[in-house]
Amino acid sequence: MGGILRYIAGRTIQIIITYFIIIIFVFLMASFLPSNFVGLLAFSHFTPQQMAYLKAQLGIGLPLWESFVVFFVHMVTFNYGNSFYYGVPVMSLVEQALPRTLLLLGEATVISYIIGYVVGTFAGWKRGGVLDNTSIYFSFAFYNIPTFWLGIILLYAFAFLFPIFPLGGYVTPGIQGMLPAFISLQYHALLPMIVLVLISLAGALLLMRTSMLDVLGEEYINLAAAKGLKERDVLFTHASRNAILPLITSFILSLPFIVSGAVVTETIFSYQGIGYLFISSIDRLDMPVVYALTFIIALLVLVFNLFADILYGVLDPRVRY
Amino acid sequence: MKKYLNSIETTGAFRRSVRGVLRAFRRSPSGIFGLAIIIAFVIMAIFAPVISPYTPDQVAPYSIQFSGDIGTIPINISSVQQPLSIVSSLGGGVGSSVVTNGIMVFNEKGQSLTYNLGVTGGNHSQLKLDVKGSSYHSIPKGIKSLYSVVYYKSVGISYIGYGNDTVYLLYSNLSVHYLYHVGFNITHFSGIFNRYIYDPYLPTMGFAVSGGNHTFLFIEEGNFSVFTNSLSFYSFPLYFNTSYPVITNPLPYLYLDHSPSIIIPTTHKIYDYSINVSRQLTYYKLSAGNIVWSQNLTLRDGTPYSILKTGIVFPAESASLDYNQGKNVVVVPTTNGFILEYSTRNGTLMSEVQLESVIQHTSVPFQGGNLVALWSGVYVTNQISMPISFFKPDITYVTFWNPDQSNFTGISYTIAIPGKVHGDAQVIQSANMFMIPTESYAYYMSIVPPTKSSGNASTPILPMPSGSNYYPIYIGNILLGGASTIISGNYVITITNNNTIFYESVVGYKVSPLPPGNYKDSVTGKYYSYPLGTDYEGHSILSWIVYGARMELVIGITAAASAVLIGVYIGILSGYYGKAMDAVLMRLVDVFLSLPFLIFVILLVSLLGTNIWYVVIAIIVFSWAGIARVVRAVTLSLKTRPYVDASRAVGASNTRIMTAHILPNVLPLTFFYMSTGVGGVIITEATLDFLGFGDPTAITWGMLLQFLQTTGYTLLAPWWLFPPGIAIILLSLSFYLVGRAFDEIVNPRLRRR
Repeated sequence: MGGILRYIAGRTIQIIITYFIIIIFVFLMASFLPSNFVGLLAFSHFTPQQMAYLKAQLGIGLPLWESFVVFFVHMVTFNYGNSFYYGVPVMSLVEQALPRTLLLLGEATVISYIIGYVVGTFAGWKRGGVLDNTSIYFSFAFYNIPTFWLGIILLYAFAFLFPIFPLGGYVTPGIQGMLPAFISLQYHALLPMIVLVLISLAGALLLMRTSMLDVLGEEYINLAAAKGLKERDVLFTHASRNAILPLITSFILSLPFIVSGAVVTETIFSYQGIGYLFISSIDRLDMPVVYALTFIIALLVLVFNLFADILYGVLDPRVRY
Repeated sequence: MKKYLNSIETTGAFRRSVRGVLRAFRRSPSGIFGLAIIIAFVIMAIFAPVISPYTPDQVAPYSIQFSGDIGTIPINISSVQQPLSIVSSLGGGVGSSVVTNGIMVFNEKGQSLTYNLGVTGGNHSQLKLDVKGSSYHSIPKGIKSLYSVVYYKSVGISYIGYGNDTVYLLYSNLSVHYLYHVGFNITHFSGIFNRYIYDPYLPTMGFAVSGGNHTFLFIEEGNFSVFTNSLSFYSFPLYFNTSYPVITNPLPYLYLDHSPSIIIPTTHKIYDYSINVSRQLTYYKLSAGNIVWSQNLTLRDGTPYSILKTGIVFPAESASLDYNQGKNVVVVPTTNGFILEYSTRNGTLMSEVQLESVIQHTSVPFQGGNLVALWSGVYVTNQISMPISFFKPDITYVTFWNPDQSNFTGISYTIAIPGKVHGDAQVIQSANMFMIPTESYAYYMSIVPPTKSSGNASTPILPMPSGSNYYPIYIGNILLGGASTIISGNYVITITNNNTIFYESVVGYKVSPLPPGNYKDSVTGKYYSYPLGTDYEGHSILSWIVYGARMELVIGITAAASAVLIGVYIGILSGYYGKAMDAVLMRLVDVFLSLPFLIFVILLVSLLGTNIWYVVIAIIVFSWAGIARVVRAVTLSLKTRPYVDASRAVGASNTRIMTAHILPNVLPLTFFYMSTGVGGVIITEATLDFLGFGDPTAITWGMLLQFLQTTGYTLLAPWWLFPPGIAIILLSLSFYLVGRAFDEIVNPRLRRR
């Protein structure tokens, strides 16, 4: 037990250092690259008050070293300030957009992993069968479809040619009541969700299939079969239960990317989540929001990575810290 | 000897490695399939000019892209100025009077050409502009700009021209009358103040010129008769000569009041010069329909600013607006682009305008530039009044203000005009349109006011030849033949840089994006073939796809190879040397692996700028880390192999061991990452393009889809939507299949997560 605590402590320090490096990295990017934010300011029209705010909040206009200190302190303390565009604290925007993204991507990820698990199990069990080949070619195809294009095609098919789904938005405006609102939310999230499921299904499916193939080569499967167990029991209790381990790791590892993964899909479907906010904020040069989202997402990735490692240890008794 | 042995061993290892890969590759049908597609794309890229008849930046001829009458007229004098338009007919009901249709062009050398124009054809769709001849005149040298004064009953046309500090008056036969030497360098001409249009006799009554902080106002005076065909302007007194302490900006503001139901009492003076002062506004009432005001303003940043403006005050009840009390709007296109102010006032009849009673004074903040509103007009129908402002040249927005009738706060419609606005906007009253000229297009805002508080502004676009010297201008109705059945063509002209007049009918509209098919150019009779249709600009989609393959292959392979190179280099170093080097490099790898890929690529690209190679750099920066980690793991196991020990025992250097023993064994892995990476790069690049972070000058499939999105044809032009997507999938998939073939056969344990 002491081992795991020491491990967590060590990793936490590592996360903090990495997080600091990311902040420094972004600061350097934002200060020195050709079309950096400071340079763009020359073409913008900020009022003196806004300029003063920029100075205090992001260190714009200060000497480089002082500018870095101001920036770093604010970013590390999660003091992201106010959005230029909305004029409200960035955190309130994040609080608004995050649940939508979590709903959309959370559901999509869970669904795609469940489908991937089931189909991958059977595909691996009957290697070279119809299901196996179909699912492999399906996965190859969806591995290589640009998400945005798939999104447009689905919009074209199901919101334009056959207008079953809405063209965009996350909820019907002005809707009343909890249940109708929830239904409307799901209805709006359905098409983007299908896109996300199709895109991420390929990975989950292939991983599960591969893992099944590995497990099926193990001796305890032969033993189980030799014992005369029913095929179903071998498949579910021996093979797929053991093969699920990489899938779970992959699932946990994909969780932080839930926040960032929707950039394209949300933009296509004008679904006002984190990704949509990120893209539109970059377009608007709304740097407080951009910084906040960048660092929040990066931090989430770091923390979830640690979480995945720990969970992996819990699930797989072979792993010792 | 040692060296010789080593080199044999090295080449042998490489050869074995490569041969093994190839042997294995042959056993994978999907890999061979992928390779076949890649080869097909490479052939396509190399032989693009053979496969595609057009280059990707070659646009379809205007006559194909445009549904209306279109053509050119050569100009036989050199270095021509902005053409002067002769708007010859102001509507139907002209009677049997002779209508002169024409365009006049001139240059600073004092030469001018007048073209007589007519139209032929049976109906609007068959209209053809007909040049009936041209005549040459001499005009004063150095005239910079000419304005035509047109008379309702075609009693005559006069021109007011200016050059440097002198104002001229020219008559319709272009004989010259020197008007006034103002004593300052004229930079702006106000346009003509129209008298009330429904007074059919005197459409013109004054104009102003300005420069620096001077403004001269000329107002015609005297008792002249329109029935004598010899309207005289000789008695212009100087009524207005004001200097301001700051630079004023009296730009051409010409307002037409077409309000139909106002009847000016005959006893009413057409204009009076009484000055009303109210708040900051000083009004110079020029006529019932026109005012000039000067306004002293303080900008938000505290700068004092003064303007002299002319404008129209249009009455409420005349236009059946729902104004209970007959509120009126004065548009003050004020400051440096931030504020547009409205004054509303009470008034019932035009003749009883109470300009001093400003009852409401609201301002509409305008964001978007630091330039003054260049042009402002008021568009009036019987349902809507719409002040419009245009901002140029750096700001390419057009803003419509639709004053809400209840509170006059104004609803603004802002339409982004791609490209720089290039010249003054023009009202095409007869077609309910405004035209905003840009460098390559004439944008038309057709204003359809179906409801009382909303206007529908759409932007049909007519193509303009690129590199036009001057902005397109609207030359008005050109009537067909006799007076019994009047068919008129609304035309817009511009002068191109090969000294020709380019004209096109406003009745037409832009047809592109064109669906797949063959099209005939009605001007040259040539056929153009577009098997996959065209995009909005008239580029062939097929050409774009074919030429795009070049860029896709180059960036895909460059980025993937660079990422693999960096990854392998760092991975081997880290794995081989271990210790501090390993710790530092792997922390770096950790940092890069923990960054969400797309978000950081977007961030980096947006900070680098829009260039295709910046996109490539951003992709490389954020994709080498994973490869480095895997290569390190492989290196760790390789360096404990006996042959490495043996080699070290012989005395081989570290570099030698790494290149001769470790690298060849890492090679299959690099093949895999290279190949699968190319597909990833292509998709990422397309995604960035699509999201608007791509290079607009690059010919890539992603840009094609981005243009599809930005022009609004996403769901309307399937021939444009499908091909680039399918091309991306095919190319990406083929590289992926090839990579997979390496992966599965050469190194079965190595599987993609």
